[in-house]
Amino acid sequence: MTTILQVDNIEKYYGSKGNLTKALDRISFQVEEGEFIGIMGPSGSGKTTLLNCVSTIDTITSGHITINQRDITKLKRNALSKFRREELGFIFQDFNLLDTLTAYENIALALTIQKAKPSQIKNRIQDVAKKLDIEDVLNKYPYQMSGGQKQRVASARALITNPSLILADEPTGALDSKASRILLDSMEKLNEAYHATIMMVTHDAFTASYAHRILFIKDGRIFNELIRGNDTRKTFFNKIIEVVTLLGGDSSNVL
Amino acid sequence: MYFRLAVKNVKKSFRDYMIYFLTLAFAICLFYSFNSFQAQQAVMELSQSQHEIIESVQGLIKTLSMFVAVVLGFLIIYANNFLIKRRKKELGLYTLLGMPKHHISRVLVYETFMIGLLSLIAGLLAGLFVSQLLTIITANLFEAALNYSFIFSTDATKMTIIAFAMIFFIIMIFNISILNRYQLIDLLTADKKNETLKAKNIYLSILMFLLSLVILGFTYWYALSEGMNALMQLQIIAPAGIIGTILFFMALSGFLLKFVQSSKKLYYRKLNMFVLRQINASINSNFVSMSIVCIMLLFSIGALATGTNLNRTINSTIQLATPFDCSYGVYDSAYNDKDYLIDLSNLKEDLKIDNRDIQEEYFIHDYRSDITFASFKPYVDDSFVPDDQFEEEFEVIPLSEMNIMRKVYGLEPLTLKPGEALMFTSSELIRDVVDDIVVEQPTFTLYGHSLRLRGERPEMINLGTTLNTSTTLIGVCVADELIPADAELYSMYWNVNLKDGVDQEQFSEMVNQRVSEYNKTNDGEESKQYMPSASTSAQAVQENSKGLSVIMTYIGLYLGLIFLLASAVILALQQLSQATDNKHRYQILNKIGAEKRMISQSVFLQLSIYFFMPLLLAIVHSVVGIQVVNSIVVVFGESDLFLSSLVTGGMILLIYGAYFLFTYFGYRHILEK
Repeated sequence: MTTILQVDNIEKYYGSKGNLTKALDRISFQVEEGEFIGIMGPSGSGKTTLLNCVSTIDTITSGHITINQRDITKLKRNALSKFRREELGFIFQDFNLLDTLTAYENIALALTIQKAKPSQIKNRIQDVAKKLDIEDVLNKYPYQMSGGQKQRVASARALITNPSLILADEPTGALDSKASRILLDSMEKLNEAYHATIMMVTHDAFTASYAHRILFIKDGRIFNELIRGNDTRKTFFNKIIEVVTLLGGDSSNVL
Repeated sequence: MYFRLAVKNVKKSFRDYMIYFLTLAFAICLFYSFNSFQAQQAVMELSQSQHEIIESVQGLIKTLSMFVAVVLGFLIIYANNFLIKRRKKELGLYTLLGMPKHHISRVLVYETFMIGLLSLIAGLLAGLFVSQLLTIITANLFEAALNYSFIFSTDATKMTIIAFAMIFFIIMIFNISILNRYQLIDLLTADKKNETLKAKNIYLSILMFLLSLVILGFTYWYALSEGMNALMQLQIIAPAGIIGTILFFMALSGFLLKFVQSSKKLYYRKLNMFVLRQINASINSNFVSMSIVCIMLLFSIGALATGTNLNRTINSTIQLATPFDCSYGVYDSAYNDKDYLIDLSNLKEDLKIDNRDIQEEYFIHDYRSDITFASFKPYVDDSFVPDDQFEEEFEVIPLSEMNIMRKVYGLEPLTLKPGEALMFTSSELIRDVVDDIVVEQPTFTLYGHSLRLRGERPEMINLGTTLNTSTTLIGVCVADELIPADAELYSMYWNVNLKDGVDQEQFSEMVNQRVSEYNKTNDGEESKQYMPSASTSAQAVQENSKGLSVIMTYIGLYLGLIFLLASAVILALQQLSQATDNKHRYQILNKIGAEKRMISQSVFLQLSIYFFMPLLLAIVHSVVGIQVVNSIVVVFGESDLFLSSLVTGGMILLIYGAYFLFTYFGYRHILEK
């Protein structure tokens, strides 16, 4: 199995000499191809900073991040843009769909930005729409869709470019529990049936229980690691709750 | 403390203020430059009549300036609104922190005052510079000598300061009332309000687009086929044109969308899809302004092109209208109620004019005939000949006198074979109509002789120096002996070239003076009355024509530039305020991996469509419009469209292009913030 993401002893400092904050403090881990990994932690733990650094939106102070055998800390600004749209797919908490475009066009946009051949676009969209069960909303505008449909369209947009790594930032944050379940089921399907590699940041234990492995972060360091192994999701969920309690976040982080 | 806050605010939002400041300064500059017209007299050597022209131009500009001030007032209020809209959140924050409303208004008043003062100073300085340039242009138009020194007009300065002080005062009141109207929650959440999106029927817009093309096509066809009479039919052409234009912009985005969608390659290329959807989504708030901008640009192009073109046209006709230094010309039927002497054989004796000042003199006889357009009916394109001129009789000139005229105009002397006749005209408008007749070489009967027309293009010949250019609608030149002794005179000209150093205008005045004296002494005797004020000097014609061209040029430039400024500002501000609303969309593009360059390109494309579609349609409108105007201007002589198009195009490119670039960089700056 190949390693998709290799995070090597990274540090991220904020502030100046007098007042230094370590947002990330010597974090190392790796993600293998086809893995579904969750990152959990209380507010201010550094999980969003970690995601931003991995997604090349933010830069790190020291260390190395290697995605698909390329060290992204060494890429120039324009190359980063190219890298981001070719190797990474994003799913955001607030969907980030363009309200002026139909679902079909929103998904197509990810391809046109890559300068993909217009002739291929239709087939590829149909393909990904089938996987995510959104074929009947393709011609609708975002304001005509439910939250769950919007997030699945956003997932389709992330998936269509065949990225090495899909980064999901609180994907269920704006969804009700039913829509969350449907979305997570499809993400699980993407992971299992199509071997998509997913890294998901969340503070919701239920959402996290869909992952195969969870890294817990506190104060910029890896605090704990949980592997699902052969556990049922229920058992895994209970284990997560235990760790969350141990982390000692405030009650909002528990559930 | 509030003053310092205001200073800081202006410095901080310098970029936002820039376009506002630029517009104000530019408007002030224009206002001052054109109103300083009167002061230009000081450095030019002008004749009495030229001074009078300057007075009348000044009067006209003063009246126009009232209208211009109102237009600029609205424009500045619009710009001010844009600024306030962008700062609602900041104003809300002041309120939240507990600053009383009248203190916030004080900050706003300081800010308006500061920007106003700065732009007034900058505008006046620029105006001073531009008015020096205008002076050179005026001197050029008048062909007057220039004793250049720096010009400063206190009148214009006073007027500018008063007009803009009033505008600023209105804006201050406006800003204070805005503060009182809004609720705190509205101020704080101003940037979160979104346009509600509605799916529009694309097929309806295609239908509307086609309809707009049909209406515009009809309007163009109608205007062109009416030609000279188009101005009379304005009550049909103007509403049809406006409706066509509005429909065009209403349907444009939908049509463009559908059109580009039909080519998958183009539609799914980079961010094209996004740009088209973006324009389509906001067309409801934009089509009105695009239509207004298009129509204003049409005015602007029309005013600039006609203003610069007429000048050239008039200059080219001066030569035709002034074959001699001075002419005393009389004609039948001018004053129907009174018969004046037409035969000028005894004129010099009667008026006691000696040959002291006269270098050379020619009497030109112009006889009545019984031929009219009706005589050549099959060859006449009657759509070009107004009904009342169809029965107008042609005039007959003897060959010997014709050759005098031809010599003056630098043409070869003419010989006519027996039975031959030749046509000429002094009206550019009629030249082609005459040409249509001449090429057929028809035969006709004149004074009992059968004659054949020679197939030469008619020469442009004016029988004397006249203020209105045409002495002869259609003239026929025949051999001297064919004209019977009892042929009735239609008109006669006493044409004089004066000795060096004799003032043409004084001589001409003297002739008119003697005529009125003679008429007075012979009062009551019908056969002893000469036509009054019938003497014209070449100098008077030149000055009069140049006066007309100066007036046209200035009015054209003034109004043209104001309309151009207004349309550019409206578009620029609208796009910039939409940049703020659209920011989140561009952020999404950035997040899903669109390069900065690609985003800039899409902004450029979007702004190009907003800026250049109205310009494009306005250019098409104005090509038709100028075509029509030109058919009227031809009355003054042949026109040179090329140069005036060049000048007009240059000015539009400079001002409109500058605002476009400003908007583009401002837009990008807002997105990057």
